[in-house]
Parts: sequence; structure tokens; C-alpha cells
Amino acid sequence: MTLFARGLAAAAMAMSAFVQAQTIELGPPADTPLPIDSLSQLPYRRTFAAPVASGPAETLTFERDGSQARVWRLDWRHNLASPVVLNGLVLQEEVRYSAAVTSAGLWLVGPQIVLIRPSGERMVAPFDGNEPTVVALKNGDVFVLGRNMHNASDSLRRLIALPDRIEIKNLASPTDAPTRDGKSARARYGVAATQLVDGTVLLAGGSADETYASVVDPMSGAVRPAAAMPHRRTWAALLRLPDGRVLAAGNEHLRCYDEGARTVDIYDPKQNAWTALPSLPFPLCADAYGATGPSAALMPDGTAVLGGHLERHILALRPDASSPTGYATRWEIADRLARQRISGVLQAISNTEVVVAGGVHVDSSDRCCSGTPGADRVMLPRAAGTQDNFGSFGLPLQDAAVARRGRWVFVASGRIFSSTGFGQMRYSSLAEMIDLSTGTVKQLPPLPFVSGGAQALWLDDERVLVKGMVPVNRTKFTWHSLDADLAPSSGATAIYDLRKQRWSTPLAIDVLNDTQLIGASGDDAWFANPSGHPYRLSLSDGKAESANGATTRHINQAVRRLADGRIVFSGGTQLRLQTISAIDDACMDQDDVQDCPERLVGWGPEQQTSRYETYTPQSGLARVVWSLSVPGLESTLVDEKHPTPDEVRYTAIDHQGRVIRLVATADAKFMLERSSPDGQSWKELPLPPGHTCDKSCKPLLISDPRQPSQELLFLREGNLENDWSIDTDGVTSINKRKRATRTEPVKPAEPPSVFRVWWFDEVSSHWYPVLQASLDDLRRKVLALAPPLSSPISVVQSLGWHLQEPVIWIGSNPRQP
Amino acid sequence: MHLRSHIARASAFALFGLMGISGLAAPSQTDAMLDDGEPLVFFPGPLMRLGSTAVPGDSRPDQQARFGWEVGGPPIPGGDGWWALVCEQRCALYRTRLTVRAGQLRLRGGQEVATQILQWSPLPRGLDQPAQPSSDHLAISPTHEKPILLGLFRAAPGAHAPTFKPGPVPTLAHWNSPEAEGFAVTGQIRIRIPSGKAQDAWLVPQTKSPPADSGGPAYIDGSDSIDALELRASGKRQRLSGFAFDSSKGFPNGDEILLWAGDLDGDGKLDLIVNHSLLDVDVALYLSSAAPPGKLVGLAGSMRYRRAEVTEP
Repeated sequence: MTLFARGLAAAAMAMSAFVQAQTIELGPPADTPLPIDSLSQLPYRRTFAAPVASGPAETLTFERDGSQARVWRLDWRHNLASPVVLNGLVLQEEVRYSAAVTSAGLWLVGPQIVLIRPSGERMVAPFDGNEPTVVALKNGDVFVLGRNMHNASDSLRRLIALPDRIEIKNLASPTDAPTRDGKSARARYGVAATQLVDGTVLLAGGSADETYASVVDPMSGAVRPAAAMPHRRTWAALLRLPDGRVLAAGNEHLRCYDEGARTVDIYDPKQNAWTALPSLPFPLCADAYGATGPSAALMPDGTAVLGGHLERHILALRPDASSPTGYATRWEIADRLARQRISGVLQAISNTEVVVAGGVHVDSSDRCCSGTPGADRVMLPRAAGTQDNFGSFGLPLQDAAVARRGRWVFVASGRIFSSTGFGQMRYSSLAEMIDLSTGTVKQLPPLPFVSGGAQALWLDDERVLVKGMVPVNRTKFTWHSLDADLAPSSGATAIYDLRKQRWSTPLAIDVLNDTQLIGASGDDAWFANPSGHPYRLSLSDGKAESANGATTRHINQAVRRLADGRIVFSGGTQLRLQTISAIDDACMDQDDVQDCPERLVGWGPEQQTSRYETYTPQSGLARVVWSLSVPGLESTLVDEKHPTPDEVRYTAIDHQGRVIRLVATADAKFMLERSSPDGQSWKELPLPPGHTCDKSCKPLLISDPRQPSQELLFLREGNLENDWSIDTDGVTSINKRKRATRTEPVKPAEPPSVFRVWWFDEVSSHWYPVLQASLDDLRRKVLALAPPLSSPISVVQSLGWHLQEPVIWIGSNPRQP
Repeated sequence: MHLRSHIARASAFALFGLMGISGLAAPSQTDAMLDDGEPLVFFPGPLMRLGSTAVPGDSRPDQQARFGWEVGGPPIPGGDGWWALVCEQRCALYRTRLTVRAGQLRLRGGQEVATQILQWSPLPRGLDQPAQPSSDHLAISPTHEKPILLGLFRAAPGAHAPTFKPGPVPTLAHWNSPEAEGFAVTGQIRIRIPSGKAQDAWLVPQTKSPPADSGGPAYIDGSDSIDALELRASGKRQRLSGFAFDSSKGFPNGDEILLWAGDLDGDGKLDLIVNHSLLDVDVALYLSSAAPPGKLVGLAGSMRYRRAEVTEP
């Protein structure tokens, strides 16, 4: 056992002994105990303090019901939640307490101080706090920073439990608090604090100076600056590690999209220095109305766990004695909470179990945020980085890169948006491999760049090519995505080598930045830019070249590379008919423009086209076919002067090069049509019987699992492509997002709407309904397709109906992860 | 938004202008302004309908409907020395006189500000006569028949302004002419100035450069903007000042930008009146005789008029 490992074990045992000593007699139960799960499924609870760990397998949550204060003791060994009424506690609107457990008992620090000793004896002292930042000290005292969490304060106080009373000791005043660069070292909004091994307290971050860190002696109040944090953090999650170092994670207030939100640092008090741990695969962001920050916990084996953020998953970093940092090189995503618990409190309750208590959630009416009752228990997987039962984090995300090869489904990147009083866009760099035969999801080294979406393509049995997606402008990825603050996104490419289990160095080539990946063969990968211009990338030397020979410009076109090498562009494209002179960058501020280069760029209204174009890279031959099924579609200007009579809503190209389009006609009807393989003619396809379709209809082409060389045509309802159709609580809604206070009652959740999927039988030209599910289930669950696609002995399973190509395969009985 | 409809709407709401006129300044600043200022004091037409009282001493009620400008800013000297450029099928210069009266407007919010009510007379073809009660503006749409007022100007105090002569003015284009052209549905956006020579002159709108190699539109997120106008004539190129326009819905017609082109100063070279904004009044008069060495034109006079809301009358 290495010195580091021994330190971990010893420290874990010491912590365990410390917590085990605390058995606090709160009083007789006020009601019959409930299973913890039952409490946790209640829609909403008002609270007067954040939860606190009160024993190695015990958590206290603090609920307020009118003027009554109720403490729930969550006994994880017996999975029971017992309520105890706290009489006499001062409860005021908008005033809360901070809870801490020390050897002296349970402390509640707010408009009064209440100490409940382990014997049940209760002492009360007047106080002026409103949920201040508190630190439980090893000597049984409580260190209090300021008067409340939201305003800078000038006081550092220590609460001391004397035999007959509570003593409040003032430690610092405005005049004696040291400053750095003129900024206060005192308590401030969003400061995080934890006690160090030597008894001093580390203060980190907060709104006055988000990188500022200091060390306070809670006995004397003496403050000394510490090395500044490498990243800005507010409400940081601080975790004291067994060897005395402190882990810090979390973002600057309201900036989930900053790179800092993905970072994790460690402070070494002996060296007074910060070092970096591996970055997180997505931002640890807990910005929500009514929330504070994320939370951290330490497992007995030294594994650091982070959670209590917008995502329902927890993140774990296992110890690795061979690593310079003492920890593994990448974070794992572990399990998924039953409910969203933003700023929920983490607690390790066994060697492999973590509970997340309290927190807030976006309710089923899209209101943010309501208090989440109870707590959820999640398990760290026995095998590192492995989830069972199709528990993929990445696949349900928007624009995740998903590529299938046989039983293997590769997943990387993707984004998630939700509103928690304000919009929050997060990017994932997680990479996973799903085994369709077992449902096992294995995490891979994270994508070596961060992108809001990506495409993936298997080059061969051992390599997967991934191309990052960039937003079309500063606020969106596509025309149907939401305006939101976007994190810096990369359009780079990288190759994952399954055998070597590592990524190639990302390749960032300017001309490929905004392209989409359309195919690969041999050493070549093919891309098309937003205007439909193809490029070839040599995978061996990393050089890209324009594929001359492609003809006219397409915008937002459907494009597909066929098995014979032809590239087909078509449908739904938009083209600007006007051009305008562009000021050359070098001439921007120049008075003499006589010799400035002239360059024309597209301008003005966009025109829909129905162009069908093929390009054969091998020969350089291009052919354009103008064949229109809807009169006037070609020359229709999309602007207010020329309202569009018909609009192509979706275009897809099948494996034969046939174009399938869903057209919204001028009379508000929808029409589905398919071209001939050469684009010369169009044939209208029927719509499902009794179904008139709407804007959410989408034709989808999926490789036939029974005959991989063929494709199946589906029609799907539901706006799954919209960024705002997904959030972290599994609630799918297009309702207006409203801000609600925690005091508002919550309406009962409405049952989610269900949407249908039809399969088109080419033989009978008939649509069969094969699936019906909620948007959330369509996005994340394994769903069996109904007959005639499935039969009792051959069930066709499906996954990811929000994807450009959902995954379907022949499975056994339906499985619901 | 089209200029003509915009002006009509602005007048209907009785907006007040905060004006900047180059070439004019308070007396104490005159010398400094003239060093760097424009040689002409310039006001564009069409004028705004003045809803205030008649000229002092004139009790006729129909006098209340005259047109002019009501502006803030530095004092504007009244009197002779003004020229009016008026176009029907052809354009001509007329001598005219400015009368300045003190006015006062109550802004929304209660603040009262002093204004200057400017009226020019005589103007040809009844342009200085009372307007019909239903008319908000002297001319708010091309008529191709009625006369229109293109601008009013005079030499700035102490400036070396060109010498003007009354009578016909050689004109290549003006916004009320039947030949005034918009833009074709396809092709490059630019405004042709028919010179009658082998090569036409062009007024070329320009946008800031999109990312290199995009090969596509400048912006596809609805934030198309025109950032400059470039004049191209006689083999020369010259960038004019900025242009305020933001829309993804096409482009204003050419006659909403190029208000007039011809030879105002009589040197046989191109002069222009250009509208630089579709949101506020920002009109500039460019003269070839004011051109710096090597340039086609120079800024001779301009008016910027930013509207502020006032209380409803």
C-alpha cells in the first residue's frame, strides 16, 4: 500500500468514526415512518435549511409546513424517513437556517441559534443570521461567516457550546480584516468554506473576487490570503481529501457555459498551491433560482464524488496511487437520480452508495424551482466507468454524435439546454460505447475537444471519426434550436482508436470548421459546408482540399454520400439570390479603398430550391436536376413581400439517392413525396391513415436491422429536435418557462403527451403505427417496435428517436432502463 | 422600413428632433467649427409638417399647416442666401429666405425644451404654401408629377462655399423620377447612377466581411447590415460615411438611398444627396468641388435629426 493509499484509508476511517459518534436525539416521531422513496416522490416540499449528514447512514432534511418545522431523519440502513416536529423554532418568510452537525450536536443557525445536543437537550440563543455560510469545526464549535449567504458581511463568528449556554464569539471586524488588492477577505456572496486538517478554515471564491482564497483561524479570526484559485467559482463545491488537500469545483455565478465550469482544482495547504485535476465531461453547474452550488462527497475508498447540479447524474473520480495527482485521469458518470436535485447535498453512505438530499428541481410545469423532497440513493458501478441497462448519459443529448457498427453504438458530444429561471446550455465531451446485446454502456476517454454537437462515423472496426459541430451564429446551432448563451464550440475532427483506447490529436482545419461529415472511404473523409460545397480530408496526412466540380450553392441542404461514392445534395435548401460587396478586413478602417479587393457575399432574402444534385468525386462530374413537384416552389422568395406558399419542412436522402421531403403546402396541409433515384421525377406518398401531420412530423430513414443494406422509412411526431424539448428532470415540455418562487404550490403533474411513430411498408404502400411514447421516452428509453416490424420471436428494439438516425436492432424482450 | 412611410409615421407622432448640422455652431464656437466644418448649412427635404402657430402677426388659420423643420441645437441664422433644389421632371435651383421663430416643445416626461421653427419662402410651385389638412408631409411618396423639394442649403458662415446659380441643374437621377430604380430580385446589390457616359457611376452598399472561405451568405441569422456606401465613378472608388440599416428582409430600394445625383456646383462632375439612414434623418450632400485631392466628392453639408418623443398634442 502506498503512502497515499494508506493516508486515504486512515483518513476515511477517522471520518467514519467522527460521524458515527453523532447520534442526536431529536424527539419522538411525529408520524409513522415512511419509506424514503415515498417521501422523495412527493412533488414538492418547502424547507427551512439545506440537508445535513447526521451519521454514516443518516441524513436530516428540514421541512417547513406553515409555521411548523419538521425534521425528517432519513435512515438509509432501513430506508425509512421519520418525521420529528421541532417546536418553538422561529420561522419567518424568506428567512432560513444553516444546519451543521458537530460533536456538540445539531446546530441550526438563522434568526436564532438552536443547538440540539446528542442527548436531546436543546439550547437556544438569539442571532441575526439568514442561512449564513457555516463550517462545522472538529472541536464541536461552528464557524459562521457573515449574517447571510447573499450579502457581503463584515463578521466572522464562532459558536461555542458551553455546558449551560451558547457563546457567540466575534472574531473580526471590518477594520481588522485583511485585504488583497483592495478587496475584502471577509465573507461574501457565494463564498465556500471547509476546515483544513490543521484546524484552519479555507475560504474560496464568491462574488467579490471569484478566484480569491484565504485561510482563517477560527479560533482567533486571523485571516491570511491563500494562493488564488485558477478558476472563478461561486458556491464552489469544496471537498477535503484524506491527505489534507481540498478539491474545488463549480462555476462562476450564472456562467455555466464558461470553461471554468468544467474544471476541478486541488488546493494543497502545505504548498499553498493549486493544481488541476482532470476536467469534467460537462459543466458542474448548479445555477438555478433557489439553489446555491453543487456538492461533493468522499467515498470510503477515497473516490471523490460531485453532484447536486443541473444534471441528474453524479460524477466520480477514483483514486489512483500511480497518478501524480493521486487520482484517475478521467471522471466517470455514475447512475442517474430519480429526480433533479440542483444544489442537493451529497453524502456517502456505504462503500459504493451516495445519496443526494434536498435540492431544487424544475417542476412538470417548467417552473423553477421547487424544493425536492427527501433524497435519492445512487450507486457507483462496480466496474469503473460502466453502466448497465442502456444507461447512457450522452445518447439522449441533442446533436450527440452517434454511430452504430453491428452491436456497438458509439456516442460522443451533445448538448443539453434547460431553463432554471434562466437558460442554461451545457456541452458534453463524454464518449461512450453501448453494447446493444447486453445494454452495457462503457465510458471512453472524453472527446479531446468540447463541442455542442458532433457527428460520428466508423472508419473500420477499430476507428471512429468524430466531427464537431459549430453553431450557425452566436446564439444557435440550427434554425430550430434555442437562442442561448453558447459555450465556445469546436468544429475539429478526431479519431478514436478502440484498440489503443485513445483519441488522436484533434485536427482543426478552417475550411472544415462549419462542415458536416458525409462519409469516408479508404484514406478519405468527405465533408460538406453549409453552402453544400464538398471537401475531402486525407486522414493520413490531415490535409483538406476543396472538391472542385460540385456545382451551385446549397444552404442547409440535405446531403448524403452513397455507397457508390456519389454525393447527393437536395431538397429544403435555401439560397440567397442577391450578393453584396464585402468590405475586406484589411480595408475596414482604410480611407483609400481604391485597391481594396472586391468580394461578393450572399445577401438578403433566401429562396427555397428543390435542386437535386449529384457529384461523383472520383470523376469530378457534377449533374444538377431541377425537378419540381410543387409549382412555384423554386422561385418563391421567403420574405414578407413574397409569402411562401409552400415550405419544405424536412428532407432526407435514402441509400438509393432518393429524396424524401415533407412539404407544408399553402393551404396548411402536409404532403410527403419521394423522388426517383435520379431526381427526375417525384411521387407523392400517402400519409398515415387518419393522420394529417403537422410541423413536428419528421421522416426518418433507418438501416434495416434485418437487411443492413436496406433502409426503413419512418414518420415520427414530436418536436424532438428542439433544444428546449429536453431538460434534466426528464420533463419534456414546450410550455413557456416561468419563474416561480419556492413558496408557490405546485400543480399536479399532467401526464405527458404521447407521440407516434409509423413505419412505411414499401410492399403495400401502407403506414403501420409501430410506437407510441412520450417525448422523454422516445429520447432515452429502449422501446420495442410493434408488429408487423416485430414478431414474437424477433423483436425490433429502438433507441434515440431524437437522433438523425435512431438506433434499431433485433433484440429480445423489451427492456426499460 | 421605407423612408417615405417612416417620415409619415414620424410626423404623425409629432416627434422632436435633436439635430446636428455641420457647418453651423454657436457664435462662440464659429471659428473652430469652420476650420473642420462643412462649407454648407444643409437641410434635406421633404420637410416636416409644423403643427405650431402661424408666423407672428399672421392670423390666417391656414398658415398653421406650413412645412419646415422644428429643431433643437445651435442657433440657425435666418435671412437670405439660401438655395432650394426642387425637382419635377427636371431639377432647378431657386433663391429663398429662411425665417426662424422660437418654439417650445414638451417632451414626454414633462421636460420643456426650446426649439427653432424654420420656414423657407419663397419656394416654387407652391411648396411654401399651406398644405392640405390631411397631408402630414410635403411629399411622402413619389408622384412623378408634383414638384419635390430635395434640399435647402446656404454657405456656412465664413466658409468658402461654391458659387451657385439659379436655374436648371443637370440631373442624372432623383428619387421622384420615373427612372428611379430599385433592385432586381437577383444579382449584386448596387445603385446605378446613369451618367450618360460609357460607364455609369455606381453607389455600392457594403457589408462587413464574413468569415473567410464561408462561401455563403454574409450572415444567415437575420443580422444583415450595411456598413458603408462606396461611390465608384470614372475608374475611382471612394467610401462614403456609414449607413444605418439592419434587416434580413432584403434591401431598401435604391431611390431610398440615392436621393439625388447631378451637377449642383456646375463643375461638370458628379454631386450627390445620399440618405444614410432609414431610421432617423441622416442626409448628406456631397459635392465634387468639396472633394479632397484624389477623391470624387467631399462632404459639403449634412443633417442628422434624431427624433425624441414628445407629449401628445
